[in-house]
Amino acid sequence: METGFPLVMLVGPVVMAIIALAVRKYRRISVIIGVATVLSLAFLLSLAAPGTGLFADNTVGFLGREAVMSPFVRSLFLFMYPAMGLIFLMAWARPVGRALVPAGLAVLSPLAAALMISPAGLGAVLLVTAAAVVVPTLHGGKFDAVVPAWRYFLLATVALAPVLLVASGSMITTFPAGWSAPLLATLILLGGFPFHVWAGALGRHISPVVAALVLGLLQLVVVSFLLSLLDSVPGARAAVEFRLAIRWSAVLTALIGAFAMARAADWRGVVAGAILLDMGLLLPAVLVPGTDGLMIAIPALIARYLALLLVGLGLTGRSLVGQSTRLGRLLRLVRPALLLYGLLSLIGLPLTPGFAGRWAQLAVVGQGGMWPTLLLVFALAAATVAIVRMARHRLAATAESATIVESFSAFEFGLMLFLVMISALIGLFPGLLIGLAARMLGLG
Amino acid sequence: MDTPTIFDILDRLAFLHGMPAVALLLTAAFIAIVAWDMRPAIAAVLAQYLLAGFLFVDVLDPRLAFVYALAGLFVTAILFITAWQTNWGRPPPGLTQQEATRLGLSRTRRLGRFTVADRSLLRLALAVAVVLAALWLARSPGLLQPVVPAELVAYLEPAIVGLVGLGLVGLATSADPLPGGIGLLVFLTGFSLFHGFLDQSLAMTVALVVAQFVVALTVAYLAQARYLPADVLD
Repeated sequence: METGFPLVMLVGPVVMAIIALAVRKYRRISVIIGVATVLSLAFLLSLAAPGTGLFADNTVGFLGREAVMSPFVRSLFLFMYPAMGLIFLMAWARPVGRALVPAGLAVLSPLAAALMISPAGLGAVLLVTAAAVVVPTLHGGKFDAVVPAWRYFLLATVALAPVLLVASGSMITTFPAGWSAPLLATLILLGGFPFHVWAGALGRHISPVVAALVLGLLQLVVVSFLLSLLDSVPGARAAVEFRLAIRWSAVLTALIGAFAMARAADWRGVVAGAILLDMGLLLPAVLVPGTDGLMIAIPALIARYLALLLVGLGLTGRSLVGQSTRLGRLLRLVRPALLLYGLLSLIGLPLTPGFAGRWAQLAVVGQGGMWPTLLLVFALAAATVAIVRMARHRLAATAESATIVESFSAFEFGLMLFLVMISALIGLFPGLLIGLAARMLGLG
Repeated sequence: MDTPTIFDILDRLAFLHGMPAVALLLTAAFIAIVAWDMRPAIAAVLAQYLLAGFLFVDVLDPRLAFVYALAGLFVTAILFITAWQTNWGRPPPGLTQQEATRLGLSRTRRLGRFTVADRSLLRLALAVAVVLAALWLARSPGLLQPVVPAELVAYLEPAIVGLVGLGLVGLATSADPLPGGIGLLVFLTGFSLFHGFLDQSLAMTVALVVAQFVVALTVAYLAQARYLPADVLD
């Protein structure tokens, strides 16, 4: 067996996940283990530049096949490890579920393997394993989260069939509708209409921090895997039916998301709708071949990850009854402001991180005619109105509860400040996120 | 007495080869999908795995086919323990309308001595439609012929279409992880049978078996999460 760095990426997180699982009752110890592990992995990975450094060999034997760490996989995980650390730090500030750190660590292993191993069929099975690993986090001890978690896992597993058919290449050459398997694989893996059924309920019942893990970081690997799979069957992507179906699925998913936001009676409903809308808008990225598709998808997913972390900080927190001071009144606005900024970023308005990928997505949809673009813009406008309406309600409620003061720990405040600074920087300079994606893809 | 080898066992079961095995397989899969009590459903899942393993002999190396049947045995054991711990899929007695709605139980109606849920009736109707489609395919095969060899298509095609169709019916008509999971496993069995013609490598066969284990374990976790209080799982 080869002894390259991929072995550390495959085995290391699993071993540490077992340790974190054993100490999961002690939340902060578990968080320390998680953060230390991902930072160590990021450090070692930075030393594992191809052909040089501590781990010159970037291959490893796996299930009788060879797993190869390409420069893109290395760059992607150089981002994902610290990003996972940030998610773990959120669990330090507030309880997000005992399964978060062990599951977050364990899922890194199949995700890395899925991108490194060939053929793609084995990668698809590893993605099913990754989906299974995050199920306890999605469930999070809540009865109402069982069915959406089950539907998420169910569809991730059903996607195995079309992905394996595409990977084998036989559907394209043997059957007349060769685009159907790639289309099904795309819609199921990205949660496009009509396979969006899990997203709304999941968005309502899981913590936004868990959503940042599952719909942000995990989805980065899923999208990279899917785009490379679609690159292997260019005929399918060129089919008019495939392009038409993806465009209209994107439009319908976004409209359903906007409709859910407009009808939502609480913030969780608005967040769930915004997630669905963002999922719809991610779909057009699959229409663009090669690294150009990833150049659209990666900024969009990083922005989704950041937006969900902001929403996570804004949605929940400790409120105490106490003496209202000027500082207290100011602090009362911090959480609503974070929530609002996170939601506006999820729908991709200017001056938010979500804006970076949004115009490219709309431009791709626009190549298929005017109506899909107009409907997507309408969905974005409706979503903005829904957010503003809900924000007015929240502000009114905040003004009424004059004796409620927000309680922040210094750590939580520091985390908020860090996230706001990063997000504001990306919001002001969208090119930063696009530049990061270009560097990951070796274009910068 | 010598222990029989895989090939001895296959020789003894030669009378089942072909259409009889498919008929039994589809009957088992049908029961696994439509039975609302988990006891017959789990028994049918076991039968389905053993018979599918028998059909895999025509697709893969017999030793790999045996591994598939053996894996099915373990998957069934996981499902059996889960079903036992969750009162065989029966809802707790004396539920109020509100509690039944929260549990995702559909409306029920009385048919003679039996009380049947609307969703079970829908599942039964769809499963019958799938079995009829599989029977029609057995009379005029050819749908999968580019992939499935001509000499096997007559009986493997109805098996593949029947299992995939029944699996889809099972997973689409239940929000409950246990019956839905049985549907998913039946779907994966049918798909694995088809995929065996596309990729016969050891790695892919093992990967698909691993996928079935992963599904069984996830179903077990979520079925218990739905049945037991949260602190027991935590």
